[in-house]
Amino acid sequence: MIKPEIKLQNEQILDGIAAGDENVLKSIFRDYKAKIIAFLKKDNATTEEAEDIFMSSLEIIYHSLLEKKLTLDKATFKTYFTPICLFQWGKIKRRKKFTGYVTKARLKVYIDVIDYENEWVEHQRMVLFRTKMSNLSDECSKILGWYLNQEKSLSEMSVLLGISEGALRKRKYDCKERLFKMVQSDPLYHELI
Amino acid sequence: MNSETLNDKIERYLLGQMQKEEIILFEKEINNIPEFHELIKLHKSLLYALNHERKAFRNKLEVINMIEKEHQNNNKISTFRFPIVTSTMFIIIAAAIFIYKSRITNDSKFKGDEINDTLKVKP
Repeated sequence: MIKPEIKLQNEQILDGIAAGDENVLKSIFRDYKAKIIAFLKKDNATTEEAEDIFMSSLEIIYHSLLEKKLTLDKATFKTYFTPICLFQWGKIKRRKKFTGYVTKARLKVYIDVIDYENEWVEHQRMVLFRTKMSNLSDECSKILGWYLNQEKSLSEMSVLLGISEGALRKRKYDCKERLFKMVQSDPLYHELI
Repeated sequence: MNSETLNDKIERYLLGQMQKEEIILFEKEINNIPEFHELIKLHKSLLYALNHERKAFRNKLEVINMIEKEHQNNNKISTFRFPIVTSTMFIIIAAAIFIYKSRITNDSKFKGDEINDTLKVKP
């Protein structure tokens, strides 16, 4: 049975993350960042890597909350958040072919507790897309951004860009294909299928 | 189905622009053709990457991280400054005492010499 105050605290934290509440986020930074960064640095992570892992872990939780995949009935925020950070570092280390004390066996323990492999993969794919998108032309970024965020209709976009709707559809398709090819040709992508 | 039409369908499916019946038909189609799964995943990742809310959340984290770092650095500087300020003050006070004392000694020496001179001149 979970103590009511722990559940309330979890709920407050999760609600705060889902709402992007700055005060809640700041308190998470104050309570966890230094400890997690110190731990990862001991295991050969650079400060930048550790900071990125810390923020990416919060992003993973945020995405899980948006997708309504996350409820912390069995664990406190701390017991959920810390393993995500370690899990991510384990993955990066394996990629860098390091050896350290976040071993495969230890990772498995974390995975057994809560399975967030899928969330991690989804997050990494999103990051990969963001990185590759910087190589797209401004026009392509605009077309995809406007359309997929449902900010502008095809007819509005065709007026703004001065091309026909048919040509716009073709361009949208070409931009997306170019981006997909860039993503798929990255070695990291094959780890994330 | 050509790839352009398929792409449009996937977009409409993920953006919630399909009718119920169309969704059922499309999901059946997806299940029958495994190659579609990866294409849908690619579209989903693209949607996530472009999503303003998700981007804004990451930006917010970056800003908080920067503020927290600055705050930490300021704390470090003030902790580092404290001993410097105290030791500088100590040096200044010590120098002032030294100068004050040496002046007193010089003054008394000077007065002593003056007395001696007067004594020497008188006889």
